Amino acid sequence: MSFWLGLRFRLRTALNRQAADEETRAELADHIERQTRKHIKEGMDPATAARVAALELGGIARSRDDTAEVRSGRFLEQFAGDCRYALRGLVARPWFAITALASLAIGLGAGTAIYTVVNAALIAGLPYRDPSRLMSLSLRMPRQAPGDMIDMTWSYPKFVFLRDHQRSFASLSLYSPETVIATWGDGAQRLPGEAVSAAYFALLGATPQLGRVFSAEEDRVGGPSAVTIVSDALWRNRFGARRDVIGEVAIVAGVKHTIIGVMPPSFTGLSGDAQLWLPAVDTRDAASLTAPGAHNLQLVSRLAPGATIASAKQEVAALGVQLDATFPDDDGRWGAAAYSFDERRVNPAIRQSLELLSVAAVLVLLIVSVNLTTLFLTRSAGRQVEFAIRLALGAGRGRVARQIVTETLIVSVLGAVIGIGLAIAAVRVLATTLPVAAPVAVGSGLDFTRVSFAGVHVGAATILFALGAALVVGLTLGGVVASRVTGALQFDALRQGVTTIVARQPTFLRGGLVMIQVALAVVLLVVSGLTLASLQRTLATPLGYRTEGLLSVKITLDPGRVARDSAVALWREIIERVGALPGVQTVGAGDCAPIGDHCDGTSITPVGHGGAGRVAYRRVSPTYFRVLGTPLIRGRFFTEDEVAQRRRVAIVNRAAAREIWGNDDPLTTPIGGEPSPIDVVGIVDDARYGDLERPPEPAMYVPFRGARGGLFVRVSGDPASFAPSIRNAVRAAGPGHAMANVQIMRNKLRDATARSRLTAQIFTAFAASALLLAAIGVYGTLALSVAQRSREFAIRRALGADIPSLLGIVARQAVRLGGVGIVLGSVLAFPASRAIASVLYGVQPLEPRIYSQTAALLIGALIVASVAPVVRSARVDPRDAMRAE
Amino acid sequence: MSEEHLALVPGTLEMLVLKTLSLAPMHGWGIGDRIQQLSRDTFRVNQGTLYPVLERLQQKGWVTAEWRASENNRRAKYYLLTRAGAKRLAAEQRDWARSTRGIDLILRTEG
Repeated sequence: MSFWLGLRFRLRTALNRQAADEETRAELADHIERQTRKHIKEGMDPATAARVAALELGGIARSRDDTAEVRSGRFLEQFAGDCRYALRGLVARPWFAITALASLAIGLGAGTAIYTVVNAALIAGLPYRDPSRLMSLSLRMPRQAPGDMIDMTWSYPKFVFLRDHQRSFASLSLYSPETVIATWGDGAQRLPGEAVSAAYFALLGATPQLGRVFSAEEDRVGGPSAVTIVSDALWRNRFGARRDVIGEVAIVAGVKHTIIGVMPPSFTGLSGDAQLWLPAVDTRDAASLTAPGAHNLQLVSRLAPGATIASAKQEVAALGVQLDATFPDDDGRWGAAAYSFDERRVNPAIRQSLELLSVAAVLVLLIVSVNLTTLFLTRSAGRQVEFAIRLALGAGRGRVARQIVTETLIVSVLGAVIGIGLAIAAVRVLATTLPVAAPVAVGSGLDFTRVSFAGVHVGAATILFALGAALVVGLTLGGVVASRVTGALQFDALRQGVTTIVARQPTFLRGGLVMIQVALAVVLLVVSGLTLASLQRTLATPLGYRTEGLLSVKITLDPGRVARDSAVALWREIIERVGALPGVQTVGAGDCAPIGDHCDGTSITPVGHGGAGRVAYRRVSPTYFRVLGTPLIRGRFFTEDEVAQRRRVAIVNRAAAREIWGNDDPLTTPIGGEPSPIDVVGIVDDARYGDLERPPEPAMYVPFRGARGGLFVRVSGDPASFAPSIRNAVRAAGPGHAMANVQIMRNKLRDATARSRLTAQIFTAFAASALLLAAIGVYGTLALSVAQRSREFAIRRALGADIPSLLGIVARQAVRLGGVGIVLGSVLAFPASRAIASVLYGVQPLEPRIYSQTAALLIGALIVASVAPVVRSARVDPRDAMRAE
Repeated sequence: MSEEHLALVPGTLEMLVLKTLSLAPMHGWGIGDRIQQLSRDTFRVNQGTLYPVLERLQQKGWVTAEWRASENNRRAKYYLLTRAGAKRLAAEQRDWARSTRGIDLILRTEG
């Protein structure tokens, strides 16, 4: 019962604070009055009696405080008071507040943003039904070296074979991201779309909000497939969200299609930005659908009940062997493989960038923690007299500690709020940049980057976590500072004055913290310097071809006509037709497009040489180099006759000439081969194909006579506007020729370098923050040290020392502090640089220039950090400084 | 004030307040005054400590307070012993009796 009575009392006083205070005041007034009357009765004069009565109570204010102190609601009341006090203190020292808040905002903001991105890209579930049961299937194509296989897309006949023989999957769907040209009343529009099977939507767990998905009949080759499904966005933008849109006709890829369904807003397909869907069979012509070699479709599947990822992988590998037996290819033995969506989730380059960024974020957070500890320790050291006085006047030790913790809590929570704001802004930027940074999909690799980042935002859970982290930081920091202040210090502070006490703080602790900060900043600066240098070199190195005004389109020639005419003649016809289009300058063909394509390789031995050398093996038409803008160094290009007459001729690049021919001249030293050697007729400049961040590889070019390859078109004007006319020209040359999307090389190049650019930018941001934070940390320590030595400085100044000489003293101290940090950081940076070596182009991980620049930058920052304290101390009159003790 | 007042035996103020209130409800000043009287001026209560103790006793639920008209028709805050307070007082008195007996025994031991 007593418990409930007590609780009721606490609640009443807590809830009605003002009334409770009023009551106490009235009660104490009553008490004093009675006591005064008693004293008067005992013979005192009234004035003295009143004074004595008040004194006996210990001063009304004090007694009231003590009473309130015991009161249950006191915690809240004091907390509010502490908050006000802390805020006043922060406002009074704006620079301290700004530094502390900025540090925390940067650290927590970076951490939150990176966590959000990593979570979206690697951890959070993909937005499909039961995504762990989804798999992606690839053909495996042999490369030159034995056992070296790469993933490849499917052709329709091979897909049919797999579909009809497998047991592991409940359903399978073709999938291909396509750029679709839709023609509306106001002109043509390029839309991101997808070519898919009827099973696609059910497989991913998507149901249309209006109408239906493709039927089995529409999925059949030769079926009534001129139908399309539109996205919610397209439905709203183009059709005004009309519900009667079903059954309307849209012109897609130049053909009338009936709209049969509208997908919900949440569904944008596997590509993450699909605006409309077409049956896969509708997007491929008859030639494509019957040619086993027309590989241009991806394959996704959902596991059947009972099947596991492992069992499915096994079955698909086994079926790959059967596939190879059914569709033999002279390239070597093909295979097939299945991957879980998680394995395919993010392409390895993005994954690596994200991992690097996580490490950088953790480093920055570490620096921030160190920085805050230094800042608060320095500040509390300056306030020890204040705390000592309060302890001496009877403030409880817990009370002082609580006040310190309140202050650190306020700073950390405010910092976190600002940091979360920063993170939200940063994630917005990243969410639009990262999908672009996803390099061109190679082979049959799915890339979910766009899907993952479709709706990425800083979630409520992340915000709560960041706030929680801020609370922990605030409490820990407050605990550390409070224990130092209330523990070590006693009334000594009063006797000895501030500087003595401060001097007794272990300076090696603060020095050590600054050192660690500087060291971490060095690591980040070195890493960012390396990525920047790498980016610079990537962008500065000539590609070996010009991307402006260059388009490419992959074509598989009509198999029936290849058998009748020759592939060479068919290509020539296409090149002539496209070349006749207005605005087209030159047209060529080849089997390997620069940027993102995987091409063949082979080993060659010049006649009379002992060893073989590996080269990339590319087949090109006579006009190819002129179209791409790859300069001829010596000799000549191929002639039409050489192509038509199947002459054994080759062109090599400079790298091949240098590395394989050495001192011999390729033009006079043919390549050994059966039945006769291959003459080298020309040497062209090096060009970077495949990965732009690697130096150009040795390459050998031979005349192109294949049935599959790319058409390269150089135009004047906006390349995008040429796509439809190029497609029409190819169709006119032969309706049986199968075409993929027209690609704009400039866009491919931009996308291929986006990742490096983004990585370099983020690292630079991190490194700049680290540098700033380290400078702040050094500044804090120096400011305190100057304050400690103000008397010494005053004496020096009285004796004639000028500011530069004082600055010299402090700067020397700064460089001494930072010097160890710089050395330590450089040592730590070695392994860090090695870790990022694989993403660097043309930069040695241990490049001395980067290290020396970093060290110079930091020493500069250290010196700048020492200016402000000295100037401030110089503004004080030496006499005041000497008297201050 | 002729005789030197003793300070209260440390830790006994709570018990003495409870005892005083067990006799009759009383306001704060009266409690201090009453303790002084009852001890025949042996003890004098430090008035600054009295109110915090009353506050604590209320928190524990041993004492409640209400505003009442006092002798000369003014309002004063009267403290009342609760049932739990009475129990507490009994317990403290028992403990006190035991410990004084113990102390007595020690002090009377002849050397």
